[in-house]
Amino acid sequence: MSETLPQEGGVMLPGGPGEAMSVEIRDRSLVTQEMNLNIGPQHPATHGVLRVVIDLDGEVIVRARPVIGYMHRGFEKLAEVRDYRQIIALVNRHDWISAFCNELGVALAVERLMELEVPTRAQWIRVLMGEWNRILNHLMFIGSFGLELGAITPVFFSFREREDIQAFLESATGGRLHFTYCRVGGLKEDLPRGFLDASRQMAQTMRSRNDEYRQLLLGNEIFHARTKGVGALAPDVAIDYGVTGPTLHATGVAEDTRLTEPYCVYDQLDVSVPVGTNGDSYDRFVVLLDRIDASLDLIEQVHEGLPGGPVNLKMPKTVKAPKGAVYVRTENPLGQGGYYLVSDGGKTPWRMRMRTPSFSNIQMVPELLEGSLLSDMIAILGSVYFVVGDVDR
Amino acid sequence: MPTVRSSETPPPATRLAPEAIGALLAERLPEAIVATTVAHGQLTVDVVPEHLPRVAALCKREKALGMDFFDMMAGVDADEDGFSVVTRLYSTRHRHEVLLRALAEGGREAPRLPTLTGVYRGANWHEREAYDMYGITFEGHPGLEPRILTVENFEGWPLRKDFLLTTREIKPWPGEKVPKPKEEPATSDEAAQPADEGPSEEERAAAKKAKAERAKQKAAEMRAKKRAQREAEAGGGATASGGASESGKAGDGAGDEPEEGGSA
Amino acid sequence: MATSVFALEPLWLALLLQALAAVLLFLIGALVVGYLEHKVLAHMQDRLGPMEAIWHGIGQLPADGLKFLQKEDIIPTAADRWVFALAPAVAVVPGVVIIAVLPFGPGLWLTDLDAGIFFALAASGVTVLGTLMAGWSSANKFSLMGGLRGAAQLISYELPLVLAAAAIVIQAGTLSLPGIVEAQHGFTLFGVPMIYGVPHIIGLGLFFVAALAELSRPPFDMPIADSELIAGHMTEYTGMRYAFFMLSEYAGMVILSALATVLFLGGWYPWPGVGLPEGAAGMVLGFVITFAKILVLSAIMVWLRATFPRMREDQLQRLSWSVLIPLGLLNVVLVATAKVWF
Repeated sequence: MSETLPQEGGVMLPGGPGEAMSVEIRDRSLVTQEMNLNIGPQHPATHGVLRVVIDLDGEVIVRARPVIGYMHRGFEKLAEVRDYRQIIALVNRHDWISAFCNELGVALAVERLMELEVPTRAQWIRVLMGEWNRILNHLMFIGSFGLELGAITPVFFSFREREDIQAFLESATGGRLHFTYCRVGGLKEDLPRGFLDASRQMAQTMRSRNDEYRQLLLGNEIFHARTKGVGALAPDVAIDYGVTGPTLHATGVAEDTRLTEPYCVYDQLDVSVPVGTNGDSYDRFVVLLDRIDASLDLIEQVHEGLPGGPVNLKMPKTVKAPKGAVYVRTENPLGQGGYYLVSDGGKTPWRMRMRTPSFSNIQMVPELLEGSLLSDMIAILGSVYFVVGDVDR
Repeated sequence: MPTVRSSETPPPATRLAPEAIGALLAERLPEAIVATTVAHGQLTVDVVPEHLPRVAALCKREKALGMDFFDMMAGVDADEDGFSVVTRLYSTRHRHEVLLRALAEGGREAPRLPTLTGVYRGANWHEREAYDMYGITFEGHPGLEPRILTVENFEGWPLRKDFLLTTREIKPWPGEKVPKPKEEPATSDEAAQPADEGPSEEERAAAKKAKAERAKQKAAEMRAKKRAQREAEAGGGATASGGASESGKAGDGAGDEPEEGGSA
Repeated sequence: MATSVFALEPLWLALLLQALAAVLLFLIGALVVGYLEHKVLAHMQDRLGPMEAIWHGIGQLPADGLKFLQKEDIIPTAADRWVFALAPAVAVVPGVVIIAVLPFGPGLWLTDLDAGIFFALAASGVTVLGTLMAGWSSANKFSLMGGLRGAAQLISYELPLVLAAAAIVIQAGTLSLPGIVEAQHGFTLFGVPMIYGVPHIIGLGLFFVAALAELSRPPFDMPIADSELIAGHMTEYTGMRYAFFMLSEYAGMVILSALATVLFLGGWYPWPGVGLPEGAAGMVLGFVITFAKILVLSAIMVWLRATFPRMREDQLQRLSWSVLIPLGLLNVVLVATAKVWF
């Protein structure tokens, strides 16, 4: 009862399984006992194996400490013993619902190190695939956020659309979740016949369906009551923690790699980035919905501007990146994904650092949780979009 | 919700070229900067380790730099030099970046660096991860323990090159097992150099093959040893089938030459 | 007024039949509403729901029941064994007891208590005891919080429920449930035969919202909020004991829908002033009409589940104490005034 934890305030407290907890009494006039509660690693709200250790005073969260690592698979070590072709298949798997964006990051890093000029058509198709992948990802979180607030219908609607999108992406890539469609120097192969028609049609359908989600959730009084003003994040705090993606955009900061450091052919497209104003759960969710529309805009631009030509460079059998180091960042659906690639000239990287958006976003979570209600924790964790595999790698 | 369009937000005029940032840093903190390199359009600044927080603070607070965004921190194994840490800072206002590279003091035995948590809150977990993966101690960090990603009683520092992946002890290709002492450390300042071509590559391939053969031999030995052990334990007919399957597997392993998929 | 079909001689036969009927009604009602929820929810969500068990998945719930029977009955080591084991029964019994006073058709009730509505509401309040017992005895923090939330919720929502019913009692001048149905049968609003639900629209709304909260149905399902508290007080329960809780939820939907039918929708009469044939035909028709009304109300509850997110605990309390209860009091005053006036 007497001992207090070593650090208070803005700095994250370290935590781990089996660590002794101490309780601090703040106001002697009303002594209530705090309850220590483990949310996770097996808990429906954390959709994965994230663990949050919270101290509760009644239903108010006094202290929150995310404990990560339950899904650490050593991707960075594995990358050091795989060649670049294998790494593309590997990085599909750390954030399994933004697979294409991850593999694109690796391909770009190697290409930048080798100073390759990828064929234009391949670059346009990369944008197309990346944006569809972004929509797939956002649909997932739109559904799951509803589910976490107790609205069980949106998830069925969004998975219906995911199914349709995956079906025609499969026709080009052969994969439904792990596409493995990028190659160093281009793509696996060109788009199959009929793909663009399917893509056009789906883009149209998706627009009307997106309005359906809006009506279903944003038209609901309880949804507003549950999310407005909940977990409001200040822009400077977000930037200080390295928060990116929809979570950052909701605070009003339009820091989007597609906008500020365009890769592929984003500099030739009109990229729009929806931003929020308050940075609360509601804004984060609306930004997600708007981002689907923004992605559809981009997809339609690609439909119109897609040039012909090859999609591959002639590459040697074994890709060897020259000696050197490069950092490449891409705008992944959940935020900024970065690959710091150090090569010693061999066919495997010397070091491959994966900077994942979820890692930085989860680090910030205690800032939002402390002082909020247990019920709000669900609205906060559900709207700071993360994938546990992306946090732990 | 309002939207920001790329057509409305051209790169700001305050954006500095990588060389300009390097020059500015070298001018303001000459004692802290070892070298500045620009490769692939990216600026890498080698920093004297004890001055790392000062440089980061300058990057953050200097108006012209304004690097408010802590992006990531990557530990890198630098062979006999020890370990280095690369930190990327970025300015959301000016849209320019810098990679700060600091070689940890204390060599491979007790690598240590001053913490950046006083400058950027986001550095906390990245430093904990670098500690977890490389054993680099960040002085002044609020708490590196318990280990952030691995289990708390994990032994060793998994991303060091001398930490071997168990599978690679058995089946070496295509990864490297140990740091290659003859070669330059990865953190050298050189820009990209074209990889060796022709004969040297062949030579290397041959060497690798030889190495693979050796490892395979070792693996076969181990398997044989294991089999012998098992036979000693169990005895009788059951081992015969077990042994057969084992040898089958070994055969598979021998035929497991890397299959190069032409991507062209 | 008709007498109960169970008013038989000798007494033991009557009691036996009554007990049997109560349990059967309880089970069948719960199964039918459970199936309704499965299917209505599925079709609202663009899917089929159970399709394999017999015809259109009609055998799904009995099959689920069988599955629950086979499951291992686990009691956590730290749990308070007796309380833990008793809690599901305590949650189920009030439902069976209330069925005793509910009229499902002319003469189709087990017993006609003079204070029927009072008895029904009182017994429904006992359900919370099961929730609290389960929450406390499970030795699980999530269960405890679920149990406490459930208790707080029931206390605040019992009041609007009683207030809405009180207005009807004032209107009908009787506490007996068959009596209320008969009184409603003769009710006219400005000369037009009318169900109570129309002039008592506030009361109907209050009753329905409070019933949802009593049942912990969405949007008031905080006690079992799966994304926050796993399953609230049911977290540690397995097998039959868990099935009992589920059963009591579905039976609760039947019971509160039946109460609303009696109080606001004219009970077994298709419409006030429209009579039913005498004898067995009237009984069957009356039963069908009552059950149809119950199913419509239950379907609305399911519809709400498909549409609404969950409220927050403090929002729920605020809604009750600052909106529903004042509204309920106002309703009683209005009804009493109108009753004296006309």
